[in-house]
Amino acid sequence: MLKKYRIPLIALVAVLQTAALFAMVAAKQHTLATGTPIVLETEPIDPRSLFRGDYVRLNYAISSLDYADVEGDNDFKRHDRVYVMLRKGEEFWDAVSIHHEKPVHGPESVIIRGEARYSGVWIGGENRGGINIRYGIENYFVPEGEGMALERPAEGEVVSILVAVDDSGTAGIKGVLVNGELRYEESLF
Amino acid sequence: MRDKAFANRLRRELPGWAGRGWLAPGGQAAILDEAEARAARGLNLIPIALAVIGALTLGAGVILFFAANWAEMPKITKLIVLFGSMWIAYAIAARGLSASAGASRAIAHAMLLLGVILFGANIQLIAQIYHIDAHYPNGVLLWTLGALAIVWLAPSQPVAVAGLALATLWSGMEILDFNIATHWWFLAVWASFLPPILRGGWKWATGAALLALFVWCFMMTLSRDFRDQTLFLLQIYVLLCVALHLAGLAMRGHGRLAPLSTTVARTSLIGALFTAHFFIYVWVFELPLWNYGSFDPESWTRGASASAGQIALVAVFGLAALGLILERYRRVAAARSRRDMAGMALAAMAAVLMIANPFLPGVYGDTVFMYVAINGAVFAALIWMIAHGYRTGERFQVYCAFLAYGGGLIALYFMSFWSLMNRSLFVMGGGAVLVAGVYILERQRRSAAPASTETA
Repeated sequence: MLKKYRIPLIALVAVLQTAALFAMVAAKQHTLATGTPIVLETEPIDPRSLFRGDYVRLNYAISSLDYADVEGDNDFKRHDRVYVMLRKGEEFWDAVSIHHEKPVHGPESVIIRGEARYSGVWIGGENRGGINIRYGIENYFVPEGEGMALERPAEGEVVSILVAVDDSGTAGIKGVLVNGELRYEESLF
Repeated sequence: MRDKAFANRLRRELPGWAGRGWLAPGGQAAILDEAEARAARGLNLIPIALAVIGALTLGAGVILFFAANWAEMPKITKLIVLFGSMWIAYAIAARGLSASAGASRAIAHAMLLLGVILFGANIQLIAQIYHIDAHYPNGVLLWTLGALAIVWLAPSQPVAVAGLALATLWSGMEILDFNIATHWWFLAVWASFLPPILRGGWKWATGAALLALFVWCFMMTLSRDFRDQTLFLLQIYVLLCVALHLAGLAMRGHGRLAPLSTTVARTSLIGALFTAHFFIYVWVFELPLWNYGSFDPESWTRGASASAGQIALVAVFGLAALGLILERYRRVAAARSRRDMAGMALAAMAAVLMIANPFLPGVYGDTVFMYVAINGAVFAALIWMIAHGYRTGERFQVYCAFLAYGGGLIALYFMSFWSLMNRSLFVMGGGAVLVAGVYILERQRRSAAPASTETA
């Protein structure tokens, strides 16, 4: 029976695979199109992926949080879901509280969702009670050889990341800022 | 290639045999026709092999091309090329599978494989283009499921092999990168590949499935969560492999499964010998190390410990292995083959030893006893396998057992469990037993061989 329908079945697989790929793009575009834009402070480092080429790995100021510096819950375990409330600071958005459940928040703040990587963080050269969080915006892929420019910016240049955060707390990178100016901007096509 | 060499040899030998009157009239031509037809069937595999290698190379090139993240190409063009190339590969595959010619089918399977490689490349490269940074093993899982869909809907052995490799990679990432010690979901995905493999009687995919299972088992052993439980994990794997090996041998008489019998038996044998090799290492038993003349107290522990789940698995696989061993014992006993009965008795003893091990107290004396007993059983089994394989002409078994025996001896030499003098006596004793065994076997062979064979 399978032989008779071989061509439609292969077409069905191709359609399913294409739909899965479109779903990946659509989910990301939804976040970028509907999310609140925020700017995060970051320190980039430059590795390479086997399949995806050069990328800049981004370590945000909100990636490592000391329980003493933020309000909310302080009993996270590895792989726990984490909701972090961010509020706009002078230049960047800063973490004000961390939670197990998504908290109610006002228009002046944004909730970003992440996953606890490990607890006990190194801040300022000492091991303190806290948490390291992954938000899914830690990798930024760049053309081959261009990672270095972001990893080691010229004297006086400050790299920061423009991020969109949607209602569910999912974040996506919208662009890369150098000294507050948009250097790379993400679009659908 | 082996069939071709066999046909050539027959072409040389047959005239001599015919001259001695050993062949019926016309027998020579019939034998040669059969051998040449078999050699020609073997050559049919070459286009498939070359096409698969071509697809793999092409796929690797495509992945590298996009990994370069070539900025000159706009995103929309990249997407059109990505989706278009995948669709073209599937279209050629569909057309090729509809044709009856061998070469077309070979290219069709290569194109299905290329389509799956391109699907994976598309996942990675869409993640690159749109900076999607999710839990990255999920990308490999999606890739595996894409391969699984092909395996079910457009049956293809090369894709099944690739899919099983991807499933293992996915599980490896979860186990080793995310410390999920027992990644049970692998078994669900792995089992989903089995029905099409068994239905198609695919030997390569059967071997790949068993290999994937063994690699998955071994990756769990590397997890830090099982640091002091390695012994019992290894026991589970050895018992599982022995059970699968005997099941493979039993498949010989079972219609549709019969063609897969050798693949199952041989792959499981490799798994069993590879795993049993690790019993040599004292750290597996959590035993103290020999440190220049005395036991190193720093390395003293209370022996390996087993969890309730591991004890259950040892019992399940142990009893399965024991059942199959006893079933085989019954058969060889019916055939009155004393040497085979001795081999099965040895295997049964080793299985009983392993089933009992988790229930023994984990103190120093008992674990040393168990170390010596289990390794003694393994070495005895290897010698039996060499003798049995030699007698029955199963070269694969002889090579594997020799390799395992040599590997065991080398490991024993370098292991710091006992002094060099003790090691020397042990190895000399083992060697003497082996040489004596070979002498006895050779005498038996000579006394059994007809005089004509001796003179020839």
